[in-house]
Amino acid sequence: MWSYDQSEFPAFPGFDLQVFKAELPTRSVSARAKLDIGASITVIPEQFVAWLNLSIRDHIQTTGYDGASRLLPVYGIDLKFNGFDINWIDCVATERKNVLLGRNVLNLFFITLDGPNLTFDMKQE
Amino acid sequence: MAKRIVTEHIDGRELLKNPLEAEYRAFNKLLPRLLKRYKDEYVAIYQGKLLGHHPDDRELARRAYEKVGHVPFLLTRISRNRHIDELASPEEFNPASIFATTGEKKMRKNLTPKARHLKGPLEDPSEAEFRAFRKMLPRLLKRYEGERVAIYKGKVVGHHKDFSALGRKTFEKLGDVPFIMPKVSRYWPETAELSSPE
Repeated sequence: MWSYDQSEFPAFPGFDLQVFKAELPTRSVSARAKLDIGASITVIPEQFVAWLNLSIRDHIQTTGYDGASRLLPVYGIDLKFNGFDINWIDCVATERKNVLLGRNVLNLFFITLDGPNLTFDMKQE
Repeated sequence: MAKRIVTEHIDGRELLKNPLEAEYRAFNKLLPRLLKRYKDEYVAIYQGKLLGHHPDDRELARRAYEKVGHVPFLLTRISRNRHIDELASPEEFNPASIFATTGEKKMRKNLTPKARHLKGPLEDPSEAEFRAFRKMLPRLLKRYEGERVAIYKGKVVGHHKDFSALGRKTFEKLGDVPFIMPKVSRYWPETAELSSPE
């Protein structure tokens, strides 16, 4: 069971994680992640692309909450958080300060959100 | 998966800082001296030190890139009235384009090893693979519609419906090379929903 991050209002379910280029464990970057069931794909800050030397694996047409559409490259990353090691996650990069864990990651877990108590849980089995 | 041995780690907050923050601080410190010597010229500052000066900003940018390669540095005009500072970052300034437009072929020879990779077209290695993919798409649709294909050097080297599985399999076969894994779809590139409002 983890606590919601209360650094923003309203508080959100989130935690620190490490991002790697897929299969390359030697270089990583840590960041705050937010769980976002509104995002179908995971989003990382664009500065991580150069630092991790990510390779473009595909392109995807994205639409934001306001309907704005953009064509973005897709990268492959590994994520490490709370004892989980998730490999070959597809993600896009945009100008932002934290990682959004989209449904391509969240759907690998059983997730319980306890809003009134500002706690949540993520399990794989 | 093998145990991770992280040899280089960075806090993401460091990466998200303005890379020129330190250069601005150095510039402000150097300004009184710079005003005496280089008033109305442009200066380039890198790692807190004066990299060069020139009356022409493009010429100075070119010289600075020759010295330090394709990295962000501060390029600004020396004036008592503070100007809008000009950010010479790799994204906004492509020295190769200057070589191309001015036709100064000799300059290419004089590039430092660090900057030498700037010669020629600055194309992402994946672009040739995507061109091959688009050409093959009608044929791929017949065999792999709905799956992802791994393409390297213009050839299909694997296919799977799952991004992770295909990535693992292809990496095992080829290692860390710029292969692509587009989804074979009549509507490629497919659409994805991004973040909620924050």
